[in-house]
Amino acid sequence: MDDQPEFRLVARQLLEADEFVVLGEAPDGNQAISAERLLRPEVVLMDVRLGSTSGLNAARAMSRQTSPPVVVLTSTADYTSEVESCGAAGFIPKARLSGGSLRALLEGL
Amino acid sequence: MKRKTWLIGLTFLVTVAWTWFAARQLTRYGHPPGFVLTEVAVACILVGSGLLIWRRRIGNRCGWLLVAAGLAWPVGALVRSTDQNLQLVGFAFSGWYDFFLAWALLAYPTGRLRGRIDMALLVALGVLFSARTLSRLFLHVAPDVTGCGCIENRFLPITDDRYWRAVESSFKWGLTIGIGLVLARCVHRWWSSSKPGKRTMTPALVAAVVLLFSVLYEAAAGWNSLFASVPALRTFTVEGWAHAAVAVTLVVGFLRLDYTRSAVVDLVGELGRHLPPAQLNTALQRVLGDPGLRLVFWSADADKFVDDGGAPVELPGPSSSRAVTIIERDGSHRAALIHDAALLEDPGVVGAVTAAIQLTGDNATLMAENERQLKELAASRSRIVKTADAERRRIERDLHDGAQQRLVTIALSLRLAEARLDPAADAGVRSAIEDAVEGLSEAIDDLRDLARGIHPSVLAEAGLARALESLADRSSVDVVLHVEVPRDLPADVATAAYFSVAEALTNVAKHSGSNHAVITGFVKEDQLQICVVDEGSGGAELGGGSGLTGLSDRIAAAGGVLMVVSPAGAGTRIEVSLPCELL
Repeated sequence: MDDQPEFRLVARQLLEADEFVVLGEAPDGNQAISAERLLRPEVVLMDVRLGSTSGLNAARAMSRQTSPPVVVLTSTADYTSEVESCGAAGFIPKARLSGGSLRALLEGL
Repeated sequence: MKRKTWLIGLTFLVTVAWTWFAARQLTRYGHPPGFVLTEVAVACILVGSGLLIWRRRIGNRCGWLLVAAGLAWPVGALVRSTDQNLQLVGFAFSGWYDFFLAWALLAYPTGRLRGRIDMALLVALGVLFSARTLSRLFLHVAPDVTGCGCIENRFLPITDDRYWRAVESSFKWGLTIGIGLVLARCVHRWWSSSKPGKRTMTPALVAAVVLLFSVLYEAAAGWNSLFASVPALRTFTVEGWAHAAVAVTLVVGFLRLDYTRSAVVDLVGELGRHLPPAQLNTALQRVLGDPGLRLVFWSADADKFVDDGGAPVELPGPSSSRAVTIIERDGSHRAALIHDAALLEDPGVVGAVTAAIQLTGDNATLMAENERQLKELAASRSRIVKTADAERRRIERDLHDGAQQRLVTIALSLRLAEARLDPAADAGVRSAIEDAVEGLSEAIDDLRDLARGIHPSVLAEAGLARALESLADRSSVDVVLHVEVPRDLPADVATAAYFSVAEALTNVAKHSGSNHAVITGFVKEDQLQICVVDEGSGGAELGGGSGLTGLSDRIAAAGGVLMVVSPAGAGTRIEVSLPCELL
């Protein structure tokens, strides 16, 4: 989930290139929450800074569900400190995002 | 001051020379030394009293009038001169001291005559004295009347002394009536005065009674024995001491005025304590001894004077016994003093009180203006900081949404390109792409740090506590955090607190020599308290262009206080207190 279409496109291609299956995209927190309920993904890659709702709030909402997905925060700024408080699994700086880095994080859980 | 001393000295010299000359005439004639001494003493007392008054009240005519009376006193002694011309001068010009004393009484205490009645009375007395002088100069005087038979008229060929006698007896009646009227004027002024006015006027009243007594005594005792040797001497002695008493009484009166003035000095002291209007009114009543005194203030809105409760006040008209002194500033009304007309007897007192009230008013206006400007300054500073903060947020967001995002997208695109690269592709190409991605990542990190320095986005996204945690994580020193603050602090307060801690941690890392810091933060009684403590070398100071100065300005702009306790060698404690009304 990210509010920038260019980033979503290149991120999808990057992850797909690394054999991840991208179920869907969402441009903001609310749509991300509904898309997650609909698509039930294993992992949600969540940008922290969105226009209206904070990615942190969306992550918190998702993690409160009965079988929550693994939420990974991403941003240009550093939000490592927020990971725990919103129930996310980890943080990957956008510039370091790749199939490899995501896989490494998920394997570390 | 020099001129004053010089004038007093000159007057003194003239008096000495003049009284010595007059005394010599009396001694040579054979008057007993006691009488001569009395004459000299009376002249000196009159002149001395005059100089005393003049020294205290420069410009007050009463002083010079007493000096004139003193110098006029020995004129009569010239009658005993051996020179016929001097005899005639002495004969014609004796007695003018009564005119000067009457004038002084009418003019007391301001030195100026009030109104036409006093003026007319003085003119009448002047005419009376002039008439007698002229008649003594020009009309025939019977030789026996002069006692010595020495005075003879050499100007007019009249040998009948009936005209002269008529003038002389008219003069005696006229003088008695005239001085009686002076007394009446003094009584009237005393009677119509308030308590403080009466206090001022009493000496003049006493002096007028003494003067009238003296004139009556002289008229009765010397009625038919002018210049007769034995009774005349006693008469002159009594009259002399009476005149001296008049002068001394007036001096007492002026000294009393000084007491009032010293009370005014007390008042100025009280005004310095910022009395509220009601108490100011009471203080004025007490100092000026006028229980009916009222201080009213000009209301520009109502376009009239109002009391301290805001109720309009009608000023008394000109026919009232109450006088009004308007206090103005720059040509516009400020306040008005409704007081006993008698207070105007000493314009200095009213002037001083007016000036004191003006000063108080000016002071209050200045204080209010000062306060207003300070408030405006604080508001303006706060606005400037808020605007600057908003601008920093905007720049940070622009960086985030613009350059950072583009660079990130490019980095990911490169990474994608690398992933899609044919496994058999040139290792050099792959390595070049990897280098490019790595360089780009570093550039993005640099940009991220720059953006965070401009405005930490985590502050808005996650609140102060989280932002401080993130700050602590990144700091090169070990930080123990005890921060429990609400999530929704006002943005300017959170920003100020964040930058305070950032600056403090930078200082710990750079200057303290310690690698350990403790941060505490909490909200108590609508005040956000943040404290950063290290156990380093201390010696940090506010000012001198240090980062702490800028910090102090920022905190002050948010209405807070920065305190730095940093004794050399004993660590540094930076305390920040910021007002925050929680939303």
